[in-house]
Formats: sequence, structure tokens, C-alpha cells
Amino acid sequence: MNTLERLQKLSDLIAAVGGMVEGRKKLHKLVYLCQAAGTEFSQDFIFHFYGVFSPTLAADLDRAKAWDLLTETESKGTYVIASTARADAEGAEDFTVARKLAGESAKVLEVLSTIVYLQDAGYSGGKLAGKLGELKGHLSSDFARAQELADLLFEIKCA
Amino acid sequence: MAKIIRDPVHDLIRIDCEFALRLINSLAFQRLRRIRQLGVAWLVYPGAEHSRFAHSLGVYHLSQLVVDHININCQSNGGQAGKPPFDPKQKVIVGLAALAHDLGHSAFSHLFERIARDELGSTTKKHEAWTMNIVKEDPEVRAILDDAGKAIEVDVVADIKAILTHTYKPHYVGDVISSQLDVDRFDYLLRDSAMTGARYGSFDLAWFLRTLEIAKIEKPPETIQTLAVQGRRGLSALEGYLLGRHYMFKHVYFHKTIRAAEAMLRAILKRVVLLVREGKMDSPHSVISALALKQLPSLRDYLALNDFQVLSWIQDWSVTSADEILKDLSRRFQSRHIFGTVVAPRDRVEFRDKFDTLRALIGAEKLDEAYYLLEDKAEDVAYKDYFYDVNRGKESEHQEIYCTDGSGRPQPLSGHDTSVIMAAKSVLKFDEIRWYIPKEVLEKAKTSLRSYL
Repeated sequence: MNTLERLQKLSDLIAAVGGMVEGRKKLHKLVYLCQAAGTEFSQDFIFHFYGVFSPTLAADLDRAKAWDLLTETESKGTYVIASTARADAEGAEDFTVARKLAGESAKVLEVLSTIVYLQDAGYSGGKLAGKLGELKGHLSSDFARAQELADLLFEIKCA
Repeated sequence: MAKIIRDPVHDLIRIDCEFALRLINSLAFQRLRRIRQLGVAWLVYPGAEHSRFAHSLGVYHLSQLVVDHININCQSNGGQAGKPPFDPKQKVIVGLAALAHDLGHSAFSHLFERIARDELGSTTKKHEAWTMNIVKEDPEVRAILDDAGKAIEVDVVADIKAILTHTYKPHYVGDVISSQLDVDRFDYLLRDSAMTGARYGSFDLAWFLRTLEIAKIEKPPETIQTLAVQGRRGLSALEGYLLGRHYMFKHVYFHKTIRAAEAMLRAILKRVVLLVREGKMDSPHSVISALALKQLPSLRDYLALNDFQVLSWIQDWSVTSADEILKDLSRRFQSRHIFGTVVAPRDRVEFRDKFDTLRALIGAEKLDEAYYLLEDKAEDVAYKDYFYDVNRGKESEHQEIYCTDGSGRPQPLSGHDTSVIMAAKSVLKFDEIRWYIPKEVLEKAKTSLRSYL
């Protein structure tokens, strides 16, 4: 995927989930989860304090803004990233998982992406649940919803 | 009995740990002798022949030094009496993780990762995942780590997994191996600088080690303990380290000829996978066969591949291949006729126009653009997070670097208004996109591209 295609795909993703995403952290989680579900995104992800993020995606967002494919504006103390693409963007069928997750809070997505990351790292069952508690215990109120989504969308069981 | 190994960067590397020695002597680790740290950089810097084996030994050496220094630094700064940040078991685990951290690299390091991603998409594995496979499933490595675990009464495999996946707590233990202040970076900067002869990466390691400590950072609702630099004494050494990273990136890791050669190598292997898939050539290796079938190779097959095999194949193909594209690309690589570079404009419309011009030029020469018009960008360099992101917005996603003030309070470097790095931040950002095409096409087309050059 070349640069033009890659940036357009980001813009299409945001268009497909209603035209805007609140905050870069949430967008990183959405792209990661789409990638984990099989949608072709070429960005690489690593794991930090706030969960998965991609230096490549961060650079792509800056480029996409410079090329007027995205806008980023402050609204009520957070940054909103909006697409300038059409809502019925070509290839929108790739974004089913994104549409299902777009309405979830950033914290639920942080927990969910951590579950997927841990599973990819080789954790499963009780060990995955234990590690999740160790890493994201401060978000325990969001565990039930994230685990439900993990089971529904990724067939990951956390017990 | 300790083993002493001579090293061009660290002089003498001392290995006291029995399990570290056994791991070094394992087949999986010895294999790293046959994988170059800098891929094809030797095409530009003839001295850049050093291996991932030497680098991994250096990372081990530094991991032990950092642990010792932080324990000393924190106690001399009034740390909790009798309780250094790292206990002896953690020192062993950090050392074993340091040795293991690059086990999962294949031929030409990140090259195969890129090809596998192109062929397999999101089902591919990154080298970190292969590393974890080796740690858990290679019988020899697993036996060594299990024995280590019995000796120190810790689940060593689980702890190494946690460190390599950035999920170990306390954070500072994992930070030694992977963070903005990790020993991987320390060693490769010093080693790559020494072996290429490009001296930019030579930073003041000895002083830097003196100023490392642990800081408590509030990341609500958590408090995270992470590696930090004593700002009063260590800021200049930290700035030297970050500038060294920037210049090494600019002059070595993102060097246009090196990157063009890597792109050509990827194109060669991409062509081979396609020809094997279409039954037009025999597969040279089971890894290629697996990729041709769009399958992940087995761990055993993956470990059997190294740089020298690939170079040998290319030599053969440059002479014997029946496929014109494979033969041509191989011959160019063999004879160091590396593609020329065109820097992409930043403006979207100019970007598209220039790309279309290049496509037309390639088409006019009846060349297949999939192999003769190759795109590259700064963030694709193998050393991820290549530069500390000085241009921070409100919601920065990147790892911060912390400096402590005289009272031990941590402050992010990005908020440090006396730092040279912060003053130069607009200059230090690097986000170039390039295209690589045959030089003779570029020469012929100079008139068409003159307005863009």
C-alpha cells in the first residue's frame, strides 16, 4: 500500500464511522482493532502506558492533515479528528468492526485492544485475565464490556 | 567461572551468569552471527559488517551495567534503605531478556518482516512474535530458561515475555530493554557509529549511566515508575544521545543508497515469491515456499534462513535466472547499481503529479512499476520510534523522556525550556517520503523532472 492509498484509507475509516473520532488515542485503538480483525492497515503497533499505539500512524495522521484528508480541531477539551472523505467511501465494507466499535468509549477500546494485544503476545484464559488486571486494573469498570466485545468480535475468552 | 569476550565497542564483556552463557551457546543465538545488524549498509559503509550476535552481547553487557548503576544511583540519592530498585533475580531476568530480544530476526533483519507482511497481511508475525516463539518453543532455549527459572525460583519465560511485550511491572525493569532510554538503543548507536565510521552516534555513555535513576510519574489513575535522567547532571548527556540518534538516522539508517538497496532487495524477493507461486521457478527455501502459499513458515524453517544464503541466491539469479526482472534486479544489486532517489514533495497535489510523472517514465521504458518504482518513508526505518518526538501536541501518543530536578521531581523533556533539543525541534523532525527508480531512467528524464529537483 503506497502513501496515497494508506492516507486515503484512514480518511475512509473515519468517514465510515460517522465522519469523526474523538481523540488520537481512540483512533489508534480503532485502527489496531480493525487490523486485528483482518482489515489491511499497514501501520505497526507497539504497547505503551495508554495501550497500543503506532508511530507510523502518528506520522500518517500528520500527513493526512497536511493533505486536507483529515481535520483536527479542539472541542470541549479534546481533539476531534474528522474526515473530509465521502461517507459512502469505496471499500467501506472493510470497516464493519470499526462501525461496531465506534460508539464505545476510549477506555473500553483501551481495555479491548489490550486484550487483543495480550492474546497476540501468547496469553490466554486465566493468564490473560490476570495480566489484564495487572496492566489495566484502574479500568476494571470497563472490563465486562471489553470482554464481551473480545468474545463477540475476536473469539477471545478471558477466563 | 566468568567468560570474558573482547568487543570493539565495550572493550571487555564479562558474563558471569551460567544461564546467559548457555543461551549464548545455543543454536538459536549462534545463528545471529549470520545476520548483519545493519542489513545492506555495507554497500555504503564497508565497515558495517557487524552481526546481531555482537549487538546482542553488547545489549546484555549494558543491561547489567544499567542495573548496577541505577541501584547505586538511587541509593546514593537517598533511596529506600536496603532496597535497591532491581533485585538480583531481576538482574538475571533483564540479562536473559537482553540476550533474547533479537532472537526472532530473520535474514536481513526487518526485510523478511516487510515481505511477509506484504504477502500475509495482518496474519503475519513481527520479529518480536518470532522471538517469543523461540523463547517458548525452541527446545534448547526453553530448557535453558526453565533451568534458570528453577535456580532463581521465578517463571523466567513468563517474565521475559512480559518484558519483551512491554507488560512487565514495575515498568522500569522493562524500560531497560525497551524504552526511549533502553540498552538496545545505547548499544546500536555506539556500535553502528563505530563500525560505519559515522561518529555521530558516539554519546557520553559513561556519564549517562551515572545520571540514570527511577522516577515516579503520575499517569492517572496510576503511578508509574520509569527510567529517568537526573536533569541537573545529565541533561547535556541526554541531549548528546538524542542528537546522536537524529544524525545516525539521517546519515546511516535513512541513507538514500542504503534504503534504495533495501527496497531493491525486497523487490527481488517479492518477485521470487510470485514466480514460485506461479510455478515458474523452484523455491530456494522452505520459507519462500510458505510465503508463496500465503502461509506462515514454521519456526524451524524460519530459523534456518540467514543473510549469506540470500546473497548467494542473488548471485546465482543474476546469471542463471530465466526471468528478466529477477535477473536484472539481481544483477543491479550484485554490481551495486543501486536505484536513484527522488524525494516526494510535501504538497498533496505536487506529490500526486510527481508520482504520475515517475509512473509515466517507468512505463515509457517498459519497466514494471511494481519492481522499478519503489516507495519508502522515514517511519519505515527498522529502528522504530527512531527519534524522540519533540513536536508534541496536547494528546501526544509517544513515549516521553523524563528528567528529574534537584528535588527529584520528574519533568518531561518536552516541557524543558532550557533544552537545546526543544529549541531545535522544528529542525529535528524527519518525515521524508522517497521514491527509488533506476538511475538511467532518472538521468534520461532529468528534463521532465527539472522543475521538481
